[in-house]
Amino acid sequence: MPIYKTLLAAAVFLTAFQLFSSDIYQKNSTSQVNSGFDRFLHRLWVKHKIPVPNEASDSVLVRRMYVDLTGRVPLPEDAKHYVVCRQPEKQFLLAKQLLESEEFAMFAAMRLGDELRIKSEFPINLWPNAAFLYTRMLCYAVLNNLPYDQFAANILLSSGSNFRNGYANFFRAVPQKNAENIANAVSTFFLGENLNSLSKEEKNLLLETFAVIKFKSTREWKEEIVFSTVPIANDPRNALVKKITADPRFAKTAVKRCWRWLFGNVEPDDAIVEHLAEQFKKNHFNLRKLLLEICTSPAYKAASVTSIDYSQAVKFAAVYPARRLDAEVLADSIAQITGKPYSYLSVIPEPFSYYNNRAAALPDGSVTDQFLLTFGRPSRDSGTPEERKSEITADQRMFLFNSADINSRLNDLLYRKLKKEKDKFTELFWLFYSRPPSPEEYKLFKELGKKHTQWKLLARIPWVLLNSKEFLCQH
Amino acid sequence: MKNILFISLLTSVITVSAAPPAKSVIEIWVWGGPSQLETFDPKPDAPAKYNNGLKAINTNVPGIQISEMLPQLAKHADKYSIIRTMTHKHNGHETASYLMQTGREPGSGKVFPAIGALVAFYKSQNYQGDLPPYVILTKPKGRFAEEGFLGEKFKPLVTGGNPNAARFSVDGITPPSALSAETIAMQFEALEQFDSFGKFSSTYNPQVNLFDRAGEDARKKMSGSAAKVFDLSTESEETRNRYGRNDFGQACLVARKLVEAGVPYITINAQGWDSHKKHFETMKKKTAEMDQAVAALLEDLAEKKLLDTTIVWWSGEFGRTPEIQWEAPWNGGRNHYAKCFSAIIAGGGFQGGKVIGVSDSVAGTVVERPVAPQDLLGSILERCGIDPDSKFPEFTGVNAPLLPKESAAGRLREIYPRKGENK
Repeated sequence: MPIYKTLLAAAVFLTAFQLFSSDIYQKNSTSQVNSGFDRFLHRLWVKHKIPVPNEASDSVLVRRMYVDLTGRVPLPEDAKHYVVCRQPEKQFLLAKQLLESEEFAMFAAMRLGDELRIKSEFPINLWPNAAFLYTRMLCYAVLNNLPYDQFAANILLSSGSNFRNGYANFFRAVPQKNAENIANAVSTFFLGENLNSLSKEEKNLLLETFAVIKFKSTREWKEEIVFSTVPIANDPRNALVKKITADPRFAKTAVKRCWRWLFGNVEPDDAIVEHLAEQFKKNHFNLRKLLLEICTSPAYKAASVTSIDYSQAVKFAAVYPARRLDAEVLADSIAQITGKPYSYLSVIPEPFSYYNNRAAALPDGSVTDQFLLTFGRPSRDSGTPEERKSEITADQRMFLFNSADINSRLNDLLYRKLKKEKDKFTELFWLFYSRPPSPEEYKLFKELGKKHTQWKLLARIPWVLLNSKEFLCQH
Repeated sequence: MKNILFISLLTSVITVSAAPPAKSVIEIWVWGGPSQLETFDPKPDAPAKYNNGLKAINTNVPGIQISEMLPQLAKHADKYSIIRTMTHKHNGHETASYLMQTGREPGSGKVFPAIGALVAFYKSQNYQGDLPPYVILTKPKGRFAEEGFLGEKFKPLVTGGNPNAARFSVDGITPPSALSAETIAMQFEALEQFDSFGKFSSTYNPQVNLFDRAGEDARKKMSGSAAKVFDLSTESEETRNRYGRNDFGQACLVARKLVEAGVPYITINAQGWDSHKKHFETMKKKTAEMDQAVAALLEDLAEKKLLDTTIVWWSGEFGRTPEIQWEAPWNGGRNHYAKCFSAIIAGGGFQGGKVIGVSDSVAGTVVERPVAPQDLLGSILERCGIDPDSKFPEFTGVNAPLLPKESAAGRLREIYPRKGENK
């Protein structure tokens, strides 16, 4: 065994030991103030008489960051490194690293794709290669940290072939391609409001502007050209982009979206949104900076339990809302843990599309998969955040209790992937929970083992961990 | 004139109410588009470029002939009626499937629920089974055959698995075979005890507590009858052989068991009918399996006195071009064709032994009595006791009738139960 591995193992052991002296899941807040947002939160909590929340433990936080920013649980080695790391800035550094990663860009493109209704078929008819290209362009925009106002301009001023300019599909990804639906898509995505909730002048401006957008087909099968009836210089969209990006709702809507990515489908107090929106604008709509600021704040680092009223705590960002893992995250995490990737197939439209990639990287809402359906992957029909279901149902639990496929994956994990591992019990905890078992859990394992035969119990531990709340929850 | 209209309206109401509504529906979805000429609308007198020399055979109903490729179904023509004039305008699989499943033209901007989800929705009020009210055997049909805006609960359960295997495994419903009852008890004991996170958060976090309730409900379902429905070892070898020892045949047998379990809507997704090339080779294999299984299903349902309360319908999204494409690259294929194609419908009070509509000499155009998709689906809904003209429930926010208005020729009232029949 190389020396660094021995050292790492020793360090993991020591840290694990320390871990139990406090709680597995939380620790007292350090009340450290690193940024303007931190100061703002502390002032807000004082104002509303909210006690400073406890902080999530390192092992909870590393898992939380991986799940929220890469769409999967961390690999055991990554979790171990984080837990033993003594760098005071380690949380900031990991958040930054993940936010700059391709995985984050892919995962963000998936979430954007949900809202932008990226799918090949009914009721949005983008066609597979257009859906693929559009998703890819969103991915690049995030990866290159394109300023959000520039991103909006790129979309709103786009034109050309659906197969060559991914952004042009924005105008096609509406139920029926007319000015009203396009205007509604713009107001919903960029201003967070339904077209009909806008003032009369605003509504008319949007309707008039997007009346210039027209479509024509080509000789290429399913190719469509998006074009403006007005020459570029006179295109009313130029003025509209300036107006929209200057609108206070523009920044706020982006902030709320980022908040949903990190905290689930909840909305924080207006004061929080306003503060962040202001900073966002000051920072020239730097999306990565906004996310980093939230990720490293005491709000994001808060424990998932609170001693105060739960809904108050959610509103004032004094608790991290625990919720079920999203469908894609669950599938990708099971695939990673068991070492067996899933593959996907879309039978609509013909010719069939085959995807040998992560669920989070599926570019097309028309891909149907029973697992993802069961766990509430959105259909991307309406593009509203409510389309994604995150409640836990009896059918979901029954599926995981009973699935023959998952059972065979778990057997392979124990008897193939971990074949040479001496302490399988501990390694399984790292795989599923990103932490070692506590002394109590180890004791329980021995006691139950005596009752039922140790190896028989061990054979079912992967199943137990997979079906536990700790694994199924983002917390 | 007014009087005649009034009387015909009145009789339609009476005929509808004369028989109790159907309890279940089995849809045999012949995906890809089955050829009308090699199934229920043979044209033995047409030139060979249309029929390739294939003949028609007599059925057990005098005057009705079907293709020689369906000898078993020919013996049961009294149990079903043939619609030879299904017609619409969509020759693409997706658009045609959406139309045949929802009765709606695509492009409205909304995804309407498929007929399976509609029946499941209305029947679920009186359905207490452990399985979801809408089950698809065995492969998904894609999002256009789903619940639309009716809500998660009416999403179909797609079984996956192979009903012709030694053990039909429905992932998540039938338990993994290798586990003993003792092991299962042990793992649940361990799950309850290894719950550090649950104990940590239960008093504070309302979300986490929902996991326990869902888990308890799941265990109740597991100890219920759900898994047993998919266990074909309860059926005799003779019965299994009667349906044919292939995926499709055994799926038909499972469908019968699902009807017995009270499931309101079952779809058997029969794939592989998109015969652009090697049409006749494909048809030979496909029709043989189809013929045996559907005949067995109808016979079995009738013997078990289930046919009166179970609608069985058979259709693809369209038919196929009457003229055979012998040129390359097709080398003997038929293309998509929606202008005139065939479907059959049986049980649930529908009269058997009838033919609806007349096609031309090559089964290429409708001569008499066109049947639009919404006419067929509307008739099924009506026989299930659901008014197709009633509005969607308010919570959907969709102010529209369940199906578009019936066509001028109307729903299939000519085969609705006669007064006094089917009690």
